[in-house]
Amino acid sequence: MQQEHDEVTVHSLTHRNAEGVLYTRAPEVERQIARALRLRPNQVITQAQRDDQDAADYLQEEAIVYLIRAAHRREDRVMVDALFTVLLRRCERLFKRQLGSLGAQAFDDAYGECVLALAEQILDLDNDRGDFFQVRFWWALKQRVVSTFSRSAKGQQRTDYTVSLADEQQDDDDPVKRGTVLTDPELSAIDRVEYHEGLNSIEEPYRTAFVLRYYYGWPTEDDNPTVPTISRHLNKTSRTIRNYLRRADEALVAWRGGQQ
Amino acid sequence: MITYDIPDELQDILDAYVAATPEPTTAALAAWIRRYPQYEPELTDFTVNWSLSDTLPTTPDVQTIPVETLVQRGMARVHEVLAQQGSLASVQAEPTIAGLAAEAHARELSMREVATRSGLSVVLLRMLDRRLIRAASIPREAVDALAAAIGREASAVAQYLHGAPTLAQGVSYFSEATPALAEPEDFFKAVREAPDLDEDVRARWLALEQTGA
Repeated sequence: MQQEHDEVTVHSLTHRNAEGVLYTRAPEVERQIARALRLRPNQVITQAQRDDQDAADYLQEEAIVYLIRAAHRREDRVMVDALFTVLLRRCERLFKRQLGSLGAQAFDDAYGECVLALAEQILDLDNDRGDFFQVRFWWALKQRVVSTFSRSAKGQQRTDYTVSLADEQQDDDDPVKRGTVLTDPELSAIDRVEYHEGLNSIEEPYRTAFVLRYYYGWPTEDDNPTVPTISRHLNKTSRTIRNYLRRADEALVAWRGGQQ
Repeated sequence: MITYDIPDELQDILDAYVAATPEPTTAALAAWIRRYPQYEPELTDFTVNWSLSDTLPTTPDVQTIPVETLVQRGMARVHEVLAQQGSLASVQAEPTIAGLAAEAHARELSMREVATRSGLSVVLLRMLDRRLIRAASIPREAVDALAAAIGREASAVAQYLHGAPTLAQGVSYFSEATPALAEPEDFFKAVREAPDLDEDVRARWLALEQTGA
């Protein structure tokens, strides 16, 4: 199926979502694509390179993906290169934000894997798996970046961490300390920012437990089996999770002490 | 080549999940697990890692990576995909162009002959040779004409024109510091100002600026 925009043909998407509903582009994206298809290739490139998102002729990423596929279909390598360069430049901030905690080497590998996946799905003209990039580009990218983060983080955990046996043992005498760092009412906003920067000093799996508990409010445990809990996710007892949280707290305090 | 095996259905579900959920909350996770219980481990794992990747700070050694370095690395992966699809095969078989004047010389052509064949002028040709004209402003017709004049693929000529500007060869500069090059200028501006371009030829090139707007 095609849409006619004053004699310019914009090919419709063919992929269906999980509910079986056909993907469709936003009307503004359709208009941008139709306008761009009437331009000469170098005009399209110039337009795509404009940074001002408020400009009337700003090309959204969803439209750029369509134009990359159209250029690839007619074997216009210059256009494919130029538009992909624009896309990667725009994505730089998201890649750094979502993958940046992995450290430079792992980031490099994860970034390469993400771009490879992005390119494969956009440039495979026989497949519509990348259609969602033309519907909601940033969410499509984020999903793939988070999935890549997951694989990379798991790889690091297999090589990096061992958990002390003491953390796994029942320790009824230990007074429970529950995240004094972030729950301290006297902690200033600046202090919270500092502690946030110290998160990378916490080893896994303590860090995961800490972030889930104190940034996203995951319960340690819950009798209701349908409630996601840290215990169920990490497959550990609630006592072990409390030990993990204590370890994370101690690591943060030690890090903070090292900064002063 | 697919870099990771994720079933289409799961990818579609994760796409919808991310698009429908502003933040990775336990309530949203529980709701989506109720919709797709068969993917409870995957949805949970994804939510945990979404939480972590949103929260953990970027390390300084990543923060300081220049954007152009990242883009270059990314484009190398894009070219891998294109090469696998066979699209780059003809370009990769082509040796890169060292210079338009060098190409002309290799074919025993003078710059004037190349200018005549391509419908440009010697002044324009020298500017293009030194990449003093912004590549994005050069119309496809000019790239094709140049390529035909020197007997090379248009894509190879286009790649050359996207390079950085160069200093004039065989010229001495009396300066303690390396002379700075001006910003490349627009192709049509260069056409307007070229002193050695026939008026009818100039009009033909400028007509391209008017069309397709």
